[in-house]
Amino acid sequence: MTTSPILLLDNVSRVHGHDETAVRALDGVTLEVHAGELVAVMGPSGSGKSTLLNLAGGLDQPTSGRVVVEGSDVGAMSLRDLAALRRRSLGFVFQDFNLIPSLTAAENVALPLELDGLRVGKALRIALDSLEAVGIAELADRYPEHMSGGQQQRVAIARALVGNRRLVLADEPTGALDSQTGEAVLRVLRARCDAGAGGLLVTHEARHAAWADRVVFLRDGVIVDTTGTPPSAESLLDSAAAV
Amino acid sequence: MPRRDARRYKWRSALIVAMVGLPVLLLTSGITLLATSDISMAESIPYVMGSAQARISDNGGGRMAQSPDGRSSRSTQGGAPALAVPGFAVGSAWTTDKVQKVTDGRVIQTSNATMRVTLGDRRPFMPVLRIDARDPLARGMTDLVSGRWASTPSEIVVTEAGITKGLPSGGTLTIAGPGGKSRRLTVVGVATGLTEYGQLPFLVALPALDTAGLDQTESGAPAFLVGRTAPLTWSDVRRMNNYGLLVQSRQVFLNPPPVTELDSKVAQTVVPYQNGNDLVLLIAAIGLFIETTLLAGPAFAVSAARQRRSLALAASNGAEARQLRRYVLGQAVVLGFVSAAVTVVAGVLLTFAGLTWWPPLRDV
Repeated sequence: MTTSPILLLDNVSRVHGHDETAVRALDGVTLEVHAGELVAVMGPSGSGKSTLLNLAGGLDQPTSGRVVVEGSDVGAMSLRDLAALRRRSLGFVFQDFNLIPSLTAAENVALPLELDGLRVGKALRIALDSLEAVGIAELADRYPEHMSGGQQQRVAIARALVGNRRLVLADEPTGALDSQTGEAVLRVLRARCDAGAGGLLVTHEARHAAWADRVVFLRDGVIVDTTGTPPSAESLLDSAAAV
Repeated sequence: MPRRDARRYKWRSALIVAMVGLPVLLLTSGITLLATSDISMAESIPYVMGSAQARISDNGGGRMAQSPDGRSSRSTQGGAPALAVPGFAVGSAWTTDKVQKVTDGRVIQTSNATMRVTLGDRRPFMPVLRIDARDPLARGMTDLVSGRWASTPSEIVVTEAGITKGLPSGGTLTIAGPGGKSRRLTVVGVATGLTEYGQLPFLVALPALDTAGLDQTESGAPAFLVGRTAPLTWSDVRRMNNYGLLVQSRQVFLNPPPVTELDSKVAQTVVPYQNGNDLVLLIAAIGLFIETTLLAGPAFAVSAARQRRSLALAASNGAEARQLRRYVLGQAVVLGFVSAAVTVVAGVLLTFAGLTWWPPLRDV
């Protein structure tokens, strides 16, 4: 792909602590996510997957290197600009859905738009379009506790990509779902990326990574391999370990 | 979000509203009661003096000075004897003729008393307003609801407050005395009214009612209502004080003199009394503010802590610090405003309803 990426991590390192207690969570990671592309990140626990996602979403700052979202250097942004970035450019999908319980599905999806100053009515109309795109427009008025896990996760995906948001950062989005529902949610995520969004998917399971265009393997904060053939992921990890 | 949160969790919101609202309700009711019980001098005119220009009573001593409302007084000039009224013996009791001589007006007598009545097995004392209510000067002190006013000493009128205490609204009423003596009076009407101090009389009877040999007590000396064309001014009041008379004048009630014109020691008894009410109100307000803070403060703190997760989620969707602050404060404002507005109105309405439908509250 030759277009400029939605997300660029350029030689990013993140070190927690100092001197003897320093822990290098990420070490010189370079990664691009383009529009229409779903990139899966795999790796064992403690490999730096969550750190990578937090840096990509501006929730954490790199010790060195650059994180660029839609052309803007996240490291150079003020807290206010970072909040605006999260409202306008990217959204999170978490393992435990993380919808706001006091808001309906439509209100949850409309939240970033309302926070960005859009009028409530208009925000809700856009939210309905977003819910329509993930196939649950009829659940717009339901509260999270009245929806299944799969439905909640679809709402989360709709929220992550509502309005002009084009980057979805998904942290184990199928972790709390049964396999069938998990597959359905990934199908939705894949469809949204096919429609032009960029996605960064952290997952443990190779069969979920199979939905991605590329799979990045992390271990000890370092990308040990990248492949476009998810089914060979575990074997690649094994082979990397054997090196 | 605060509005939606309050809507979504109605019972929790109702609990917070109650926690904030109950103390406000109590405070509002208290203030309403205080405001309605603390009747101004102008408001008290009807039941103090009816339609008369003044209510005058014997202070029982020599020359004196009084407050404009006649509630405070003291002897002056070292207890010098009162001025003598021409044509009347020095120290003779005050009568309508003697008062007329001093005031140059038409005079009728009134008093407040208690009488023992027989109600089945009970023989309670009942407050009685004694006045010839047919006289236009009495208009305002008591008003006829049904029937007619007493025109002979063997007739009596009961009040609506008296009926609630078990007095009959018609037929006969037995006034009891010691040693089994009693007298039957005919109940000829039902009235409403207030005594000089704003209490409810249960009976209205003529001053001529013969109470000899009956269990009855006079509440204070007889008073006189004075009707005349010219009002009694503050200087008239001070002049009559020299006769040993306490004067409650319509003109003075409506336009009280400045404190500087009062006797200095009488003035001291008037001002602290007014400040006392303010102080009670201030202490009540501070106490209830503390109570509200102790109740509502933790409620909002728990609410904010409970919503930490929602706040974090809002932040992950781009909420700025000021928006999160506004959310937490918004909840307090939404619920606080709603509860305060609702309970202030409810407190006033409930208190007025209580005053209307439950007469004992008027004595609070």
